[in-house]
Amino acid sequence: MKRQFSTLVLISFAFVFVTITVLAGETQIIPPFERFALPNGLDVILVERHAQPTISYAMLIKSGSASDPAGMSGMHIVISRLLRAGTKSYPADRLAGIIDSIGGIIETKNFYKDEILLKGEFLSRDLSLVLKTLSEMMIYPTFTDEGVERLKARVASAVIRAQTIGEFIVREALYNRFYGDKGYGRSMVGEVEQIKNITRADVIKFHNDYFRPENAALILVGDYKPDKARQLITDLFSSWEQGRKIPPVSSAYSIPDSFRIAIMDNPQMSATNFIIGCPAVPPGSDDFAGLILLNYILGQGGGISRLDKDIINESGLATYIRSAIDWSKGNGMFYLSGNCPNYNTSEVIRRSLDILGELRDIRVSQKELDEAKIFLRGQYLSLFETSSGISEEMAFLLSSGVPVDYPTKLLATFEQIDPARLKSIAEKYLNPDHLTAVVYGPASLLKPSLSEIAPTEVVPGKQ
Amino acid sequence: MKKTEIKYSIILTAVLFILPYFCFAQSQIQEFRLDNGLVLLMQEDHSSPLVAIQVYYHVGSKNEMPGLTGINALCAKLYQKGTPHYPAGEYSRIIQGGGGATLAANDLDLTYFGAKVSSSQLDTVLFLEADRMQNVEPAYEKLLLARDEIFRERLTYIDNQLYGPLNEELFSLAYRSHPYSHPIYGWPVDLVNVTFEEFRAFFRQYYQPSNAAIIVVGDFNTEQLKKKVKLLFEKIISSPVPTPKKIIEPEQRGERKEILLISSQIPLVLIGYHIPAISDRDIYPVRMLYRALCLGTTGRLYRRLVMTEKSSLDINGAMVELEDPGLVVFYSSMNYGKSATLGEQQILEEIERLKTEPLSPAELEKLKNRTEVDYYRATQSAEQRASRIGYYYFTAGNLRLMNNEVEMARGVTAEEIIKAANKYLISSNRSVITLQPRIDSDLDKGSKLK
Repeated sequence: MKRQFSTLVLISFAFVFVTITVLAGETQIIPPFERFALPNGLDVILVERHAQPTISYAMLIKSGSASDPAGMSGMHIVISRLLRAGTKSYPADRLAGIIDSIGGIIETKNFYKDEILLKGEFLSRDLSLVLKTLSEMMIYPTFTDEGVERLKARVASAVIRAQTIGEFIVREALYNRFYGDKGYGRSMVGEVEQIKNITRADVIKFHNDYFRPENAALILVGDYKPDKARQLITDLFSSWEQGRKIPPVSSAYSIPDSFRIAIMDNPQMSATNFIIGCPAVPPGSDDFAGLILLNYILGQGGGISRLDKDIINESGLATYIRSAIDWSKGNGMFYLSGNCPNYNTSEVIRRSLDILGELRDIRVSQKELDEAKIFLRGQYLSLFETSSGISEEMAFLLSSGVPVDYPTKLLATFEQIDPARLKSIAEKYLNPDHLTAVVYGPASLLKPSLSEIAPTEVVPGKQ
Repeated sequence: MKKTEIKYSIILTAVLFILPYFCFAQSQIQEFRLDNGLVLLMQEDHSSPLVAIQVYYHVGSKNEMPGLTGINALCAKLYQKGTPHYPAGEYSRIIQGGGGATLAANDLDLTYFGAKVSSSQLDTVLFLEADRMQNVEPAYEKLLLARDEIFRERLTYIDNQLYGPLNEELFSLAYRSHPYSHPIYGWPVDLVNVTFEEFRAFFRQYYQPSNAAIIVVGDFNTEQLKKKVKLLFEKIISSPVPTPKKIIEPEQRGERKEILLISSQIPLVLIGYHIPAISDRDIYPVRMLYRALCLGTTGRLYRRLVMTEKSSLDINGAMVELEDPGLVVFYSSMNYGKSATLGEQQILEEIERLKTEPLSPAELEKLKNRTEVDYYRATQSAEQRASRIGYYYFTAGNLRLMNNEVEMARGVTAEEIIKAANKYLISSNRSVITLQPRIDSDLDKGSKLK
């Protein structure tokens, strides 16, 4: 058996080698698509797929939480939910009844800085009806007083629940520390008191400002005849009028002069949520591909990333730890975050900073870099596997300010990045003085040991 | 590439148990049994250059005896801690290094592992899975590591989450005898007391070829795959798995209630009823009952509690369909100034209506149309289809039930729904948990009054 196993080991290595060779070649990530714009500026993308008798759509408004007006944090969520609460031709009951009667599904995805997304899935036979209701929702929503009040209450309750999730709390706090109360500093889910103050007139004004064809895109993926789809979209969406210039969004931020730690105090917590990060650059920027690779090596790669390997697999200090880079039109954050028992918090923060330092000071090996490139190629392939995935990812790319074939360009850019180039990008963006940490847990327990790492302040936490 | 998305799922764990209900009509599923009892289920599909490979073991928390709860969670952790040939982390490194993603999960009925990869990497995954099936060895140090990992996860996902304990409380209230009553993580005291001998014996009993199935869906050649699997897996030594003792939950004699006091501003009510096992014919009308109450904004509960009465902020539910009888769950987050008791009363009134008033043809048609859309939604990716095959093969006992689910749903009548409501949605079959805001004079967070 042992001999057989040795043979199999050799075969296995051969397989790995073959796999790497194949994946490093040209793989089509983005499916073929047709793109056109209506005279009013609506961007339309059509992707035909006939494997199932269904269609998926993504209706994108390229504005999200960063566009919430001052004093109305949460407006983008309230309005996205109100779209389904009745239109000129379809009162609320009738609209919901029509969608449900055909088995259709509409979801809103609105926890983003630059995006409000309406996603739909339905049977191909219902294309005309679905596009009709969608055009009504975008162009002619009624925003009744009753609907506004009901949705405000629901959104406020969702905010209260979100504010019990430690991972969410520290991320919001980190954004707020760099970006302040404007633009990217605005909460992704809103503030309860500000949501309560939103009026119907405010909602109508927000709709007039942002729900415009030149600020929107429609992606249709699935089983349909393109001629028919093109005609329907032209007929139904051409009456959507352009508006005044879309107000700009602020992604300006200020960088501290040294590393600091903020503790959001919650004495009841027996485990700590933590986040360490700083602003990065938007997709499409020269260094973005390098940051994507750094992110994978640091903490996106699950059990094989450096953070996970050191802090979880080898030390058992935390329950989870990962890194992320936010894709935004402006400068999103690059950060690592996790959760650990309170008694391990200072050690986890210390080790995380050490791992960031190693990434900055020591070149990654060619092997580690190659593995990151191959993994990311495979992930992009997977993201565009289904109709639903294609429509959502394409909308997401557009809201991030890059073209829908950006992943292909990104993969090509990966090939130009070597360990030396990656090190220079790490030096530029992982400056320890530019980082800030936020931890959510019992301050009396955490402060003494965290103060030994960096200046530490205690701020009120959510209880 | 996806941005962080905040999800507000109150009964997260329950939802995770639910697999979509519907069948799919892609190419036929081929079944092949090796001499050592291992089953291979294959569905060839060349629509994308991807393949999902999943290894299912027919073991879950329901196979744990009293005093040994959590032992399967420990074994599932052990399975991911590597072999002498590929130490911990190597499996993930090789799969991810080739562009793939890994998968591992354990629930009440099943435990499964696997990967989704480019089709050129299929052979690598098969090789690594054969190595794991043959060479994972229980060791005392690994038991300690697994135990620490579970304790940390419990701290993060149960103890420090406002709604974290809800599922554990509901299941332990609804089940008295059946092992569905205890959590997948096990009770902490049992995890501490489990011995290495018990751990090793449990692992060896259940984690072997005759208790497993390999599911492969995607871009491959069926005949070639059969040969490769035979070459890699057939020589792995297997022993018969003793038929587990069938534990039948005694009929509930009356309604059970529990009040949880926690730091929430929003009262919540959670109502569960025992439902038939996934293989029972009654599951089809029960699914329709659930959909009639909870489907979208035109579901009866949403219309009554959120739209009309405005007593509730949010209504939702879950069908926890299992190998043995599971639960259907409804919950309501209450509006400001509205009590959980009011929410409970209104939900029960809507349920009572279903026992006497037949669904209109239009309402029934709506539920059936949604069944069809959900089916297509649940079968888009190779990974989704592999999961469904593994789930149905072991929990339903065959794949026929999966393949004709839309057809069976289309055949459900309004009369069958009334009959199911009167059989299952009755007070003596009900467990209710209310979550009430704690005030300063109350007990500590997490305290409960029964």
